[in-house]
Amino acid sequence: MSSETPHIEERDNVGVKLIAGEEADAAAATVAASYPDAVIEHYPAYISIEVPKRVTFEIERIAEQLGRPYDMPTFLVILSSYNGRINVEDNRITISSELG
Amino acid sequence: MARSLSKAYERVKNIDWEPTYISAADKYVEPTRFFLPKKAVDPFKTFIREYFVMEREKESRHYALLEAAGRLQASNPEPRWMEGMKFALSNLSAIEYSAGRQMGRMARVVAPMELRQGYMMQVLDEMRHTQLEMNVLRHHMRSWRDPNGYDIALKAAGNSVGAGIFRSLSEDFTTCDAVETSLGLQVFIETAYSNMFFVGLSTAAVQSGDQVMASTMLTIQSDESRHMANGYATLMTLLQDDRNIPLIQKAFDKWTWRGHMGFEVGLSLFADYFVKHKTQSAKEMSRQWLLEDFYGGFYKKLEKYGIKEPRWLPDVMRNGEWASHTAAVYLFGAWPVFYHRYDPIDEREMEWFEKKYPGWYGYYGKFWEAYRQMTDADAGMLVTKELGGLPAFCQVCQLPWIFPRPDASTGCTMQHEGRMLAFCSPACKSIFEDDPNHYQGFKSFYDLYDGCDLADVIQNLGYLRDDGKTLMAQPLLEPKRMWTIDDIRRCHYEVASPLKNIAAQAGGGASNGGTN
Ligand SMILES: [Fe+2]
Ligand SMILES: [Fe+2]
Repeated sequence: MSSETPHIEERDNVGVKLIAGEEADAAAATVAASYPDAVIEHYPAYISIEVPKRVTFEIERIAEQLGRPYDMPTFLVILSSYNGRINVEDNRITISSELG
Repeated sequence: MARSLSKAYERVKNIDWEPTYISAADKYVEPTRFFLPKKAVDPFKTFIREYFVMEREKESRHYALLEAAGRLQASNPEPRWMEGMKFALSNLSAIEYSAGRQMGRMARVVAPMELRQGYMMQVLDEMRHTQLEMNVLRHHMRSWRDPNGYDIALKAAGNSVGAGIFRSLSEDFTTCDAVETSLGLQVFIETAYSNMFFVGLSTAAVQSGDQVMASTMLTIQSDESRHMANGYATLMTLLQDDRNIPLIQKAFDKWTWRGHMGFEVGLSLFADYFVKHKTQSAKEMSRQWLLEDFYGGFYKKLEKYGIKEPRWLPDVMRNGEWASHTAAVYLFGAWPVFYHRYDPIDEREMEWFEKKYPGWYGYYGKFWEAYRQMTDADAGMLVTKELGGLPAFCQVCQLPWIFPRPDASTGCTMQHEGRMLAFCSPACKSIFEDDPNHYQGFKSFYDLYDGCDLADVIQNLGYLRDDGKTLMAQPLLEPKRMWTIDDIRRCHYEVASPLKNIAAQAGGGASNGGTN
C-alpha cells in the first residue's frame, strides 16, 4: 500500500450551490455579468457557481433579473451550500476565501 | 425587509443577561474543557421571524414536489438505488435526530449568546431533517414495489449491525465535550462531508429516478449552510484564546478519523455501489469535496493560527483508496443480517471499478465471483460462512476489521479490563486509549449473538417478511426463489467471535499489525 503523505494545496476559490430553478438562473446571470472568471456549471438538481477569492450576491440585482420583488429569506431557500466564509447582510451575501 | 437586520441583531444581543439566582456552573449544566470568551463571533445572522418565513417556504416547495411525485409516478426508479435507500434512510434519520439532541446540549453548555442562538435554530433544523427523511421513507414505502425493509427502517437503525457504525458516531457526538461536538459535527461532518453527500449525491438521486430524495437532499443542505457557519463561528471564537489551540488540535485529530470511518466510508460505499449510472467515483468525490474544498479551501488556512495537519490524515488518505470496496465486501457478504434486496455488481461495473481503481479486480474480484455463485437458495451456500465468517468489529467505529483492504488489514487488539478488544486501526485504538470510558460500553454484534445460529439472529432482529419465514434481505433483486429462514438454518452457520481465538492464542496484550 502506498503511504504518500497528502499534499494539500491551499485554494482560494469560493462558491455556492443553488437549487436549480429560475431564481438560481437569475442569480447566476448576475454573477456572470460581474465576475468574468466565474465558473458556472449546471447539474440535474443544482447550479454550481465558483469564483476566485470573493463573490457577492446582491438581492436587488437578482430581483431586477427576475423582474419581481425578491428578498433574502427566499434567496436562502435556494442557497443549498457554499464554500468559503459567509457574511449575510440585509441585502447581500458575501463569500470570501479569507479566514477571520 | 425594510428594517436593518444587522442593527436589530446587535440590539437583541444586548438584551442577554446573566441571572443572579443561579451560578454559572449550575446554569451551564456540564463543564467544558475549552475556554470560551464572553463575546463570540457571529454565525449566520438570522432572526426567528425570518427563520420561519424561510423554512416555511422551503417546506412548501419540497412538499409540493413530494405531492406531485405521489400522484404522477412518472419515473421508473433504479432498483439498486431504491433498495439501498432502505439502509441509507434508516440510518440518516437517526443521525439527524441525534444531531438535534446534540445542539440542545451545546446550547446548555456554550455560553456566548451568538453561538447559542445558532445552535437553537439548528435544533429545529435537525428535527426538520429527521421528518423530511421519515417522509421519504414513507413515500418510498408506499410507492416502491417492495416496501419490506422501509417498514422497519427506524427499528433497524437501532438493531442492525451496520447501524452500529452510525450509532457509535452519533453517541460519541452526544457524549463528548459539548464544544468538541461543534468541532466534530459542524466543522467536520457538516462542512466537510455533508456537501459530498447531500449535494454530490443529489445528481445520482436524479439519475436513479428518485427526485423526491434529490429534493430532500438539497433542501436539507440549505439548512446545513447555517450549520457550517455555526461551526465556523464556534471555531473562530475559540481561536481568540491561545489556550484552546492544543484542545482544538486534539479534537481535529480525532474527528478527522472518526468522520472518515463513521461517515465517509458509508458515503463512499453508497456512491460506488448503490449508484448504477456511474459518473464520479467515491474517490474522485472525496478529492473534490474533501481534499480540495475542505482541506485546501479551509483547513489549510488554519495554519496561521497554529493548527497543524490532522494527525490521522495520512491514514485517512490511505484508507480512502479502498474503503468503499472493503465496506461493500462487508455489506454484501453479510447480506442475511440486513433488510434490503441486493443487486450485485455486473461486468460493466467491474470494468468501471478497474478503471477508476486500478488493481481492483486483483483485490476484490474473487469475492464477487464467490458472491455470484452463492445466491441460489436451493444450493444453500452462504458467502459469509464460506469465506471464513464475519470478522471482528472495531470497539470505537464498529466497522469490521478488514480495512483498508481485507488482505492488508490495519486491525489491532488490546486487552482492556479483562476483555479482548478489537480496533480497525491504530487511529481508533489511540482514540480509545485517550478516553476508554467513552467507548468500552458499546455492545457489539458478538456481545449479543456470539454462539447463536444465524437463523436465530435474523429472527431476533425481526428482518422477516409478513409470512414470518421469508427473509427481507435477498442476495439478488429477483431470486429464482426467495431465501427463507429455513434455508439459513440449513446452512448451519454459528456466529462466532474471532476475538476468542485471538485471545486464546495470544494470552492477552497481542497486537496484530498496528504499526503506523
Ligand atoms: Fe441535519
Ligand atoms: Fe475503528
